[in-house]
Amino acid sequence: MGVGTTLARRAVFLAAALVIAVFLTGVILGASGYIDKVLNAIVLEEVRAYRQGLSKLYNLTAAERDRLVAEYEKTLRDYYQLDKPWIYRLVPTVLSTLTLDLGYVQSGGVAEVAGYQLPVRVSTVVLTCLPRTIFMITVAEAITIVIALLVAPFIVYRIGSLIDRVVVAYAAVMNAFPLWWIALVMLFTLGYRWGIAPTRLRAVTASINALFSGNLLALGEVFYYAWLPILTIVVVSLGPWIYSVRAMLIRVVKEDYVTAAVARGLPEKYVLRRYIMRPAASPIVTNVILGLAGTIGGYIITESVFDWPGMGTLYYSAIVNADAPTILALTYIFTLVYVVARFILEVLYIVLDPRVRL
Amino acid sequence: MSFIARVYAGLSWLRREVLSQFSGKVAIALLVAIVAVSIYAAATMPSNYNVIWNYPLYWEANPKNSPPEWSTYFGTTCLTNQVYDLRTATPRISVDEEGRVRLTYNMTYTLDVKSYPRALILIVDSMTIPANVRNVRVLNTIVKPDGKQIQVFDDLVDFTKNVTAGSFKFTQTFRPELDKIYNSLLLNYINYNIDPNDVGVNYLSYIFGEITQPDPKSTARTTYLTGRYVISLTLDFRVEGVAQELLLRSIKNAARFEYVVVGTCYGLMGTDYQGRDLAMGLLYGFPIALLIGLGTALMSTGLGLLAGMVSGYYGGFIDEFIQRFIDVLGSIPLLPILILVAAAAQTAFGADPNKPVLMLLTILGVLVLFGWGGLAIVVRSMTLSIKSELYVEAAKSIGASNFRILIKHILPQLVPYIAASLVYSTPNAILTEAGLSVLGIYHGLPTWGGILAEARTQGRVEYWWWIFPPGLLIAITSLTFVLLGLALEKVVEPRLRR
Amino acid sequence: MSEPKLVVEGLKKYFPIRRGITEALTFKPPRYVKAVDGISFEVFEGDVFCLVGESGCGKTTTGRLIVRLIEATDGRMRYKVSEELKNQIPEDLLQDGKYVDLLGKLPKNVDKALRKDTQIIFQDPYGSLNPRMTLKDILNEPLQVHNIGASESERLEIIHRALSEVKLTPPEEFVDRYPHMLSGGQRQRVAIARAIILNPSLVVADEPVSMLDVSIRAEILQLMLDLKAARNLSYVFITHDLAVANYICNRIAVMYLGKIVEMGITDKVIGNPQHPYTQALVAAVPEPDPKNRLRIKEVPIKGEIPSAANIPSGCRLHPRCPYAMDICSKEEPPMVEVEKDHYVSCWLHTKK
Repeated sequence: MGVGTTLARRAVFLAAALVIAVFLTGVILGASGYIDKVLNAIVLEEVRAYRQGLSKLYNLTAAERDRLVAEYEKTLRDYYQLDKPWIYRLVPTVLSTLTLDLGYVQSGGVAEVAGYQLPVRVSTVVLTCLPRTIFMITVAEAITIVIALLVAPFIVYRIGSLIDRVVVAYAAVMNAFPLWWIALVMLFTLGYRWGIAPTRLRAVTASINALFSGNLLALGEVFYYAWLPILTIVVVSLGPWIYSVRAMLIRVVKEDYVTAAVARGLPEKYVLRRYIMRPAASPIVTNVILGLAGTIGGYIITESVFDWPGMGTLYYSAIVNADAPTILALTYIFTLVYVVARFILEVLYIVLDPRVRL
Repeated sequence: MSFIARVYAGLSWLRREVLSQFSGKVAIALLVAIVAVSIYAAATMPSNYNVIWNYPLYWEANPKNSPPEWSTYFGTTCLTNQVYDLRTATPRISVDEEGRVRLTYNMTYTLDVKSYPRALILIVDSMTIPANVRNVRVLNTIVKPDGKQIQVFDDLVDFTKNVTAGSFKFTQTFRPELDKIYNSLLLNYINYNIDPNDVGVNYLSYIFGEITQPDPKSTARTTYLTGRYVISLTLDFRVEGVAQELLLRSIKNAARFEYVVVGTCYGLMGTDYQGRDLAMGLLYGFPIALLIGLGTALMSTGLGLLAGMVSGYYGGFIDEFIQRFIDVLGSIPLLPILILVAAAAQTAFGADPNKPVLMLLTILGVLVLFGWGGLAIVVRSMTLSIKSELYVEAAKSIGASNFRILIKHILPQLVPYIAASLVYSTPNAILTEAGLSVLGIYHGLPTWGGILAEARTQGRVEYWWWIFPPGLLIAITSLTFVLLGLALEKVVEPRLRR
Repeated sequence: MSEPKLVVEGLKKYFPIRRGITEALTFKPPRYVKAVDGISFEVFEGDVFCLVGESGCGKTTTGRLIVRLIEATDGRMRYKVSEELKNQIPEDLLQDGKYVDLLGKLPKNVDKALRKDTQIIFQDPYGSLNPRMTLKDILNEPLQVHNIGASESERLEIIHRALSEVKLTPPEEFVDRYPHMLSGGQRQRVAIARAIILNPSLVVADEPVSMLDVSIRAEILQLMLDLKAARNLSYVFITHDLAVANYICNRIAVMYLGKIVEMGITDKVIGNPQHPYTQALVAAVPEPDPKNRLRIKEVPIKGEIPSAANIPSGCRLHPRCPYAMDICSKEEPPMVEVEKDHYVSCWLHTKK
C-alpha cells in the first residue's frame, strides 16, 4: 500500500471517530434521560419563580394567574423542546454541530462562565474561554516540555547517577500525586495560609479582556493570577515528562550505532544531536503534540479547583446545566483537536522518518 | 490450590526480577502493608458501615471539625473527647418504698488544659424498657473543682403512652437545658451579675470555667478552670412492682448508653463537619480503594488480553474490527465523556437506594471500556510474533487445539505485559474516582475521594487533618503501583536496563 | 515391493498477495505466490523419500502440507492408515479399504488420530522448542493432547523411554532442563523424541540437520535411520543438500519453483541426472576426492531463481536453461519415465 492510501485510510477512520464521539455524547445525554430531567427541573424552578413574582401583583385573579403561569410554562417547554422525544431534539443538534454550526448556548449559567448573558452563540463562549485555558494550561505544559527536553538529554548520559535517581524518584512521586490534589494544597498553603498567591482566580477574566482590548500591560496581571496554577502544573507534570523523554532517549542510546559513534570519538553534543535526538524525534514529537493538543480541553478538575474560568470549567458548567448544544460542541472541539493532532503526526512521521518516502 | 501454587512458582522469575530493584522492593513493601491494612479493615468493617457513615445521629456525640488528638504536640490546645460508657459502669442503686428505682452514676472528669468542652450529651440508644416502668427522671449535675454544683438538665420521660406495646426500645439524647443551668448559677453565685444571654451562648464556659466579677457593677466573666469535676447522673425510674434486675440488664444490653463530654480533638485522625471519625473513613477507604483499583484493572486487563489474543491469533475480519474499534475509542476524549456519564448516572439513579454503588459501577465501567485498548495492541503484536514461532507450529502438528496453544504457549509470554497493565491501570482508577468526587460528582460512598470532596465543599482552609490524609493515602497507594510499574518496566522493555 | 504410504496427486498451494486499494478498485485479478504448483509423488512404506531443491522451491511448503500445518489449495493426499487406526475411521472415508484423503473433510477425532500418525521435525531446533518449558513439559504436551498415559507417572515413564531412545541418557538428568541448557544437537534429539513419542508411522523431517554443526550431522542422521528401523517409520526428508540426500534417501524428488522436475531411485537420479537443473545441482556438490579437485565443473545454469510470484511460462527453468528450445517457453513438459523408477519432466526427453 502506498503512503497516500495509508494517509487516506487514517483520515477516514479519524473522521469516523469524530462523528462517533459526538453521536455517543448525544446518545448518553438523551438515552440516560439526563437532559430531560435537568431541563424539567430548570423549567419547574423558573415556573415557580414566575408564579411567586405574579403573586405580588394583587390585581390578578387566581384564574388569570394560573393562565399566565401555564402560558409561561408552555413557552419554556417549547424553548427547550421538552415535549419532543430526545431523538428529535438531539439528532438535529448533533448534525448541525458536526457541520460546525454550533448554535446558541441554552443555559444562563454556561454563558456566565464566559461572562455573557443569553442569548449568545456557543462559538463566542468557546472563543472567550479558549484563551484563558491557553494562558494557564497550555503555557504551563509548554514550559514543562521545554524544561523536560533540556534536562532529559543531560541525564541520559548519566543513567544511574545520583541526579538520575533523584529525577526518577521525583517522577515516580509526581506520577502518583493527583494534580488536582497538589493544586488544592498549593492553593490552601500559598494562597490562603501564607497569602503569597491570589485566591480569587476567576478575576483573571477582567485582565484577559483588557489584554484583548489592546492593553498589553494587562499581560502582567494575567500572569499575576496564573502563576500559581502554572507553577502547580509544571511541578507536577515535569517529573513524568522528564521520565518519558529519558526513556525514549535511552532506547536510542542503547543502539549499536550510538555506541559506535561514541567509540569513534565524536563529541558528546554532536552524538546527542545527530545520533540520539534525531531518531528519538518521532516519539518525542508525538508526546509533545498530543500533550499540547490535550491542554485545549483544559484540565477539568484542576480548573475547577482553581476556579479558573477556562474550557474545563465551561464544559463542567455545561454538564451541570445540561446545556446540550454546548456539551456537544465542546466534545466535538476536543475530539477534533485530538484527531487533527493525530493526523498531523501521521504526516510528520513520514517527514521525520527517512525510511518512508512518498 | 495446586494450580495457584504452580502459577506462583511459574512467576518466580518475575518476582525475582521485581525484587532485584530498589523501586521494586519499596513497592512490594508498600503493597504488603496496604494489603494487610485492607484485610484488617475489611475484616473489622461493620456490615452496615455505609449506612452508619451517612447517618448523622450516629456521630452526634463527636466534636465536629476537630483535629486529631496528637495535634496537641504541635501546639493545638487539645481537649480529648471523653466518653463514659454507662452500660459497663456500676451505679449506686437505691429503691424507695414507693417503688422508685434510683440509679446514680458518678463520673470524674479532669480538665487539664485551658479550654472548654464543646458540648455535653447523654445518648440512650435502643434501651429496652420493661412494660411496668411508668417513667424516668433523668437528672444531671456537675460539681466544679471549687465545690459549686451546677444542674445541667432534669428531664422527665413518660413511658405510659407506650405501655400498650409492652416493653419497647427507648432512644433519646439529652442535652444541657439553659434555664436549669441559669437557675443553678443564680443559686451558686448570689451577688454576681450573670448575663443570661451570655449563658445561652457560652453555657459551657459557665459550667467548666471560673466565674469572676471584679466589681459589683460589671457583669460576671468566665475564665478557664482546670481541675477535677464530678459529673453525676441520676436515673430515677418509677416502676410498678419489682424490676431492679430487669432494668440493670436492659441497661447492659442497650445499643448505646453514653455520657459524653465533647472535646475539641478527636481520635487518631480528627473528625469532619458531621463529627464523623475520619480515622474510620480512612481505614475503611483502603479496601474500597483496592477494590476500585484492582477491580477496574483486572477487568480492563482481562478484556485487553482477550481482545488482543483473539485479534492477533485469529486475524482476519475480527482483527480488523477490533483494531478499528480501539482506534475510535482512543480518539474519544475520556475524561469529558466520563464526567458526562457520571453526571447522567447521578441523575438516572437519583431515586435508587443503591445509587452509590450503581454510580461507582458506572464510572468503573466507563474506565474499563476505555482502558483495554493499549494492552490489546501490545498483546496483539506479541501474539502475532509468538504465533509464527516454530514451537507453536510444532504444537499444532502434534494436534494441539488453538485454545491449548493460546493458554500454554502464548499466555505465559504475555505475563509481564499483563502485570504491567494491572499495575498501570490500578492507580488510574483510584485517581479518576477521587477526581470525579472532588469535581462534585460524588457517589456517596466513603472513599478517600469522597472524604476529600466533602473537605472541599464543607471544610475550611484550616482543616488540614481533613484535606491532607485522604490525598496522601491516594498518593501513597498510587505511588506503590507506580513504583511497581517502574520495576516491571525493565522486564517489559529490556532495553531500559542498564 | 511394499505399498505406498502416501500418494500425493496434483498438490497445490497458492498464497494470495495482498492487494493495494488501487488494485482492488480497478478489479485487477488477485495475484498469488504459487509455492507448490501441482506436484505428484508416492512415498512407499519404509521409504526415506527426499525432497531436494534450492530455497524457495516449495519443498518446505510441501512438508508442511503433508502434516497439514497449512491448508492445500488443491490436490489429493491419500494416506494409508494402519490396521488399528482403521477401526476409528468411518467406512465411507476409506478408499481401497485403507487410504484416507488427508485433504478431504475429516471428522474431528479422525483428524486428530491422523495428526498423531504424521509428525514433523523442524529445521531450527532453537525455535521449535518453547524456551519457557522444560523437556518434560515439551514431551508431555503431545501425550496430554492425545490422552496417552493414565497417570502423570506413566507419562513420565513414556517420556523417559523416548529420551533414552534418542540417546539423551540418563533421562532423569534431562527432563527438568530447559532448551537453552542444551546444545543444538541435543535439542534436535528432543525434537525427534517429540516427533516419535506419539508413535507415528510417517515423519516429515524438514532439513533436520542443516542448522547443526557438521560434526554431529551424521550422528543425528544415523539416529533417524535407527529409529526408522526400530519403529518401522517412513520419512519424507526435506533437504537442499544432495550429499545428505544421497546418504539417507532411497528415493528422491528434485523440485524447482513449485514443481517436481526429476524423481526416482536416489542412485539413478544422483548418479545419472537427466534434467538440466538436477545436473546443475549435482555438479555443485563439493568434490570429496582431492584428485578431482582441479577438474573444472560445468555449471550449466545461469542467473538466479525467479520469484514464485512471477513464474516463467512453459518450462519454469527455460530462462536459465542452456538447452532451452522454442517449445520450452510455451508448454510445460510432461513427466516421462526415462528408465525404470526414474522420471523426468523436460522437453529434451520427450518425443514430440
